[in-house]
Amino acid sequence: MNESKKRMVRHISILLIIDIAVFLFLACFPVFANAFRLQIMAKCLCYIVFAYSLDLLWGYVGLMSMGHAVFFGIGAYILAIGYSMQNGVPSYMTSLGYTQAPGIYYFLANKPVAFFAALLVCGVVAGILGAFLFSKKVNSVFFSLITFALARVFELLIINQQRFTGGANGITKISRRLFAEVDIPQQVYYYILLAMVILVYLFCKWLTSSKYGLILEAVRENEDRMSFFGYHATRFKIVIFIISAVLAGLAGIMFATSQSFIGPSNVGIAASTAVIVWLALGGRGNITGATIGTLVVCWAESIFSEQLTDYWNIIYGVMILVVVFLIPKGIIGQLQTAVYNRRAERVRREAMVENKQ
Amino acid sequence: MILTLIINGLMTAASLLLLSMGMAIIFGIMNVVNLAHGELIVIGAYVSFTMIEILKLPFGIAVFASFLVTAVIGGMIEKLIVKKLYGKVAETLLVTYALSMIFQQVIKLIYGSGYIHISSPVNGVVKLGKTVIPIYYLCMIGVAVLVFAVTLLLFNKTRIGMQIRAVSQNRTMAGCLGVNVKLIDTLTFAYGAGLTGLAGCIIAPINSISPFVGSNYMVDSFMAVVLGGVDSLFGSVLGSLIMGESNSIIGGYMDSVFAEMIVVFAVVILIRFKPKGLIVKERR
Amino acid sequence: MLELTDVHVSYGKSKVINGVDFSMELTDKVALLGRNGVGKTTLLKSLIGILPVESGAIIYEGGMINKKGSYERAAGGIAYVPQGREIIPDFTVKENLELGGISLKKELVKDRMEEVLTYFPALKKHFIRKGGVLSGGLQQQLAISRALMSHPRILLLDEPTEGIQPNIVAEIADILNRVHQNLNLGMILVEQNLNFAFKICDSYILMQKGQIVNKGSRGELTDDIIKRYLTV
Repeated sequence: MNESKKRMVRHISILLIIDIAVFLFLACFPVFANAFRLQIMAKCLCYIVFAYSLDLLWGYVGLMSMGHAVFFGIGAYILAIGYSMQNGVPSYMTSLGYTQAPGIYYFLANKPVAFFAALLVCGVVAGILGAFLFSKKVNSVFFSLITFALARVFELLIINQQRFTGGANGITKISRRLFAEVDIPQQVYYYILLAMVILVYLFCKWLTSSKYGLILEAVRENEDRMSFFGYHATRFKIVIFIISAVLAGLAGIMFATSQSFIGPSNVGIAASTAVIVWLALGGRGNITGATIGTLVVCWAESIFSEQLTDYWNIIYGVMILVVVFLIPKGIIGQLQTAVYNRRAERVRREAMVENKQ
Repeated sequence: MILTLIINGLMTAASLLLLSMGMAIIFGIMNVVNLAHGELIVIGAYVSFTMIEILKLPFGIAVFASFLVTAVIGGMIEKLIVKKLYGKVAETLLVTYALSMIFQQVIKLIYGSGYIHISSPVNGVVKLGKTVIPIYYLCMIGVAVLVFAVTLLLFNKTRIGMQIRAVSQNRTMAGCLGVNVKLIDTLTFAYGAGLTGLAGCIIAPINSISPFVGSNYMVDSFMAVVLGGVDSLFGSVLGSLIMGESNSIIGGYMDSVFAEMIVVFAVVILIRFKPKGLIVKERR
Repeated sequence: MLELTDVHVSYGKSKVINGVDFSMELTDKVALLGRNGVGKTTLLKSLIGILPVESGAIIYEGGMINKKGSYERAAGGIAYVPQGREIIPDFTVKENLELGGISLKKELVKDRMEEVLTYFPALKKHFIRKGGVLSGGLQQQLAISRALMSHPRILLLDEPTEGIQPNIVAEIADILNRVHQNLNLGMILVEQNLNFAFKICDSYILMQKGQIVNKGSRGELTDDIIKRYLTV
């Protein structure tokens, strides 16, 4: 009994160690980073939550949404509209010469209402979409294509409805306030974001390691068999879709407030594909990969697009090719396999030794 | 008024058919999702631009060159990349997306990021009642029909077409009977890509072309193929017709973006109830 | 001559063929027997190249064909009639046969079709019908005739009588015998129906757990052996 307990302790997930190390690093980051770098890292934190949200949907349930940025956008835009309300009209509308805002906007002037409305709309849209799409088994390719199409339409709509959404210029000067009356200092806000990241992380970890999490993975592997066991795969999928959408919306809110900007480029196909790339690089289905992948790509983008703007897209494309062919499971995925193989080897050797005795 | 819309819808449909033929082959027949589809269109347009505006060659040569260049590129994509990821959807989506980004950037580096203009080989208009139709549009319809007919003939009346159909329906058995499946895969993809480039060349004189317009064509092409029915080439005709007419007619009464949105929603709803599209091949 | 030397085949991580040694002349008719799951289909699949050989050698007409793709083996004279027929339902009988003759020169296909169809008069009547609407027996005849199109030297048949009514089964046995007589084809016939198998084959090999455990000529298959390896 003692032996196996010792073994269990030794088997503390290497992923957990990586996670703790990363969070410690993130916590210390403001100490040695300048304001510019801090802003970039703050953006990364928002994107990490976004990545977590897609990891639940794609990594665990196997639904590759190519339009997840839509929820990111819904969250961000609703909040942004609310926060830019001045005397009942969003400031970007007045600057365009409109003096009348749609009735609904009125309610968003209240900051907490805007915040919760943003999350609520994400959830409701996901619920309706999920109920519609998952109630009959839609081919996973079609799910990707449909979400792709919806992302495109959403992006077009945002640009086109300039009057209501700020159009191609997006919404700027979003205050970094959350529910406060004054702007929160950049460093303090950074820690608020980090706290949110850790909360979402803990939530995802709890969700995926619970019985619920196992069911999700089972649905991903063999949906039909799950239904034979009496599990309504559809309901699980819808619930996860809603959770995932709400988390994406939260990431959007974090982004809008910390970067004080939201625009169509953050809500369409490019943005949706970006998060897929982060997960592909870091590894999906293990939460830690989401953190690592996002950090690596976002920082690579910041560094390279500063210096090599013209070539960044090519580097980005080549990077994706390299990841798919050489690191198919993502960094953390490959690491997990390596560790697993080593442990399997050790167990095999120990078993052989025991057999000889 | 409505007649104009219907006629315009026909143009849009023809253009869409041309642009979707390649996808009907690559996605419909080979079951490969190619996110670089839009960029193949753009490459075709730029090849055409190079032939016509830079090298001052006739339009016919440009058409031929567009087909050839994109066919070769397509063949290489299949052989080097897609073949290795056979069956892995997420990976194929990612790599074709990566290729689309690389293509966009390379085109930008070579030609600059501005819009290019390609002069139409045929000028003049034809009047149908109150509607004015540029002759080039009619030519485009002709080309669309021709390309479709040639493809249909190729697939149904030639030996290689038989091999393509056999591979698409039963890969393993086709191989056992003597079909070089790997070669057929490459050729089929190349042909689909070539058609896409050719489409780019044809629509270039009447559309705004820049390195980044590729993504504008992705969704519509997918929708047209999926709506009509992935199993059938005629499905793409039907899908293109429905989408072209719907976009045109609805767009005549409201904002074009709303029109597109409605059409996309309608297609999504339809796919949910008929996942294989409108024209379904019965299979035992 | 077809020779297998210490062949091992795996499906993913599970070993299905565990060291098979076997040889036959290309005119022999051999029945491949064994319970379900012993590796008979897997052996045929590795002969036609659908499954890769992990180790060991398959030597056909003096050359090792391990690395050759299915289409090369088909062109080389190995024809496969799979379990479940796998005819293309959308293609007509004519097109299915044309597909079978894809490795032939175009001009020779029509004549070959005529030749092959002389063995299958029932099929001739359904020439332009789609494969998917044919009955099981006709589909089986189509699968065999299709395999004959490419002038094969050896035919690999996997449970051709499965799901087919008894009178058609007898017909198929007749056809296979006549085909062998006139075209001097070899055959490896996987079968559960011993009666049918020995109407055609002169010898047998018996598999269990991925290995050949017994072989011999038709007469040597005693009730004892049957009881031991073939019954439940």
